[in-house]
Amino acid sequence: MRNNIFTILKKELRRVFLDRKLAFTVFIMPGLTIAILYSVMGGMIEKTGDDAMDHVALVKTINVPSAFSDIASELYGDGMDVLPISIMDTEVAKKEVEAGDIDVLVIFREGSPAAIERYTNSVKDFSVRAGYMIDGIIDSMRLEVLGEKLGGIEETIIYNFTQIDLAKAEQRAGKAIGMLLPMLLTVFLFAGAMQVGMDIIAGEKERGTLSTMLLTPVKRSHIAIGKMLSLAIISLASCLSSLAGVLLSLPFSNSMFGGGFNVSDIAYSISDFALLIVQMIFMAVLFVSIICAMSALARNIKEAGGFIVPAYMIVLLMSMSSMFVRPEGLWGYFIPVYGNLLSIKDILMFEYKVVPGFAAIFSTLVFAGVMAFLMVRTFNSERIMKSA
Amino acid sequence: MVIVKDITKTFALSKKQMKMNGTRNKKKVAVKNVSFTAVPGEIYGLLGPNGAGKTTTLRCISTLIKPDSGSIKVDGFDTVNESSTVRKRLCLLTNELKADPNFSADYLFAFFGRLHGMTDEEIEKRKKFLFEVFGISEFAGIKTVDMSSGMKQKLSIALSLVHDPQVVIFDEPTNGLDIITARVVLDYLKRLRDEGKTVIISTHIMTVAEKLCDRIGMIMDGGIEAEGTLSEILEMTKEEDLDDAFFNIYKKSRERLDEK
Ligand SMILES: Nc1ncnc2c1ncn2[C@@H]1O[C@H](COP(=O)(O)OP(=O)(O)O)[C@@H](O)[C@H]1O
Ligand SMILES: [Mg+2]
Repeated sequence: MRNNIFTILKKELRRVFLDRKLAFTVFIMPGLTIAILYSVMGGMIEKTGDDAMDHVALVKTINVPSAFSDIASELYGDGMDVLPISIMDTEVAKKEVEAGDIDVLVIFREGSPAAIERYTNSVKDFSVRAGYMIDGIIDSMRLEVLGEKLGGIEETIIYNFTQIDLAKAEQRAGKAIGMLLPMLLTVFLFAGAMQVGMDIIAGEKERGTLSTMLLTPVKRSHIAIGKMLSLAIISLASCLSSLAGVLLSLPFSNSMFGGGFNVSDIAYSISDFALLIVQMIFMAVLFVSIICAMSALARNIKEAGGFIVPAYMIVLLMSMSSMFVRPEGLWGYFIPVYGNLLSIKDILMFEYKVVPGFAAIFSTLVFAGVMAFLMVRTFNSERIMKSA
Repeated sequence: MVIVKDITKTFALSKKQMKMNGTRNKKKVAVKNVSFTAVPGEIYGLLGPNGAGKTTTLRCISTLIKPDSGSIKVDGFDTVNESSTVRKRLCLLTNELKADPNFSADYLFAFFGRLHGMTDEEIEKRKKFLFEVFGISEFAGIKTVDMSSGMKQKLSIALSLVHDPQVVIFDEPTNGLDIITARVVLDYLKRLRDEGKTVIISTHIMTVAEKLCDRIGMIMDGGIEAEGTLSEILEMTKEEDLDDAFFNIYKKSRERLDEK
């Protein structure tokens, strides 16, 4: 009888591998999309950074002391253009900041203490950046005045303040990767399994080919298991494709992760990769079980989509929240899907621990078991399979 | 041999089905207390109008659904408790069965052969024979999706017969078939009968029953109202042909229903 499961498994795999269009969407597209997405986004971010470097901050000033321009050219050189204007032009200059024609307007007003007004436009990146530059100038001016009062600029130094990051380069790289990758893997793993799963279960019902299988001596539960296993293999293959896509695109995309690491800093060991693949297998099993159970319930592909898309949304929500929040303690690992995501993140960030890892696998197995049970029950149900 | 003993099958209707049937009953008794026996070497025909319960009866025999009560034995095996063994011995053909469009005839034949536990040699031998009978050999290598509809029909019939079953069940054998295919199929059913197979068909077409069936069970509204060979039925009803005999019996069963 195990033979039969294998026969069915082979048929389903053949179906997907021989269908060039389907094979492309399932195995090539995830990797390709991720690679292109990462590279393009990485390239864009890098370019934005370069533009910012090239950009000369345009600053108009009203009534500023001469020290302002001196410090500006001392700190930023050609990077900042300071243009004093008359107080009469205040409103015009404000409009220019609003429109992005200039980056900042700075107004000094005499008094005790004197007042400084800095006008920027927070939706314009150049304006925001120029604003910080102005802050630097004003800080320096303050220190200069303070130094004069105290009898020397050295007197203003109260602390020697040094910032040191003890994170290893590999940890920084891990954090950058661990942020996005679990979510992307989830998206592609689920989407691939969904497309194929709906076709080989609900689609076969719709086409009237499933009943031909129900009329063979093979047990219905074995037909169900054969289909489920083939889907697990297919979705795992598509997942490995996405993973390959990420790795291939890293050289072009590291600035996407804040530019905080070099590709050579990625230092996962063989056992890290093994753990990652194990967790991915369990996640694939989990998704496949959900998709199979729902496809089995549906009469046709359209109905199956109606059942599965809400589940997909929930999975997406979980993966997004796992990007930002990390629950205290173990309980999060017991939530199906969510626990898997946390474990994958742990592996990528070099923080994997055995107990939470097993908690995630345990909950996955229990949940997938329940789903598989439901699927087999559905296959055995006359009411639901009557259309077959 | 197929022995159907006093089977009843009730369906729970969904709201949509209730509307479609124009009824307020939540349940539909599709088959009630049906009994008959079909023996090797004969073609047994269930003749009845649409909705009489023919398909339901045949689906019960082929283990797709379970009767609520009563029992069915196929070559001595129970369709509920020994369903796998029963499926090894019978095949159900309908015009709703489809061949998977993504595969070739060759592949599908081997696939179903394996699911029936046949060896590669057995499959090859059987394939040669059946593809010859139905004229599929020439198209065996192309994907089903690229076949003509007549060819698809013949293929799905050949696929159902892969395991050379002792009992062949065909729901409305000429329905939806093109005329040439229908002729090939009917001839093959006769040949199966002559080989000593048990053949059960359902039909609502008088001439099919008349020409093909050795014995006829007239089924109306879920129950068998008359049974026998063509001449027995004509004698019983004192009519000239099957058409008239059928209406004779139909009227009587209506009258009985109305009295109730
Ligand atoms: N799955 C089902 N659910 C509800 N009612 C059904 C189902 N299958 C058949 N029926 C009903 O049972 C009756 C007999 O149907 P069927 O056996 O298909 O008749 P026939 O094949 O003789 O035309 C019909 O009234 C039909 O509407
Ligand atoms: Mg019918």
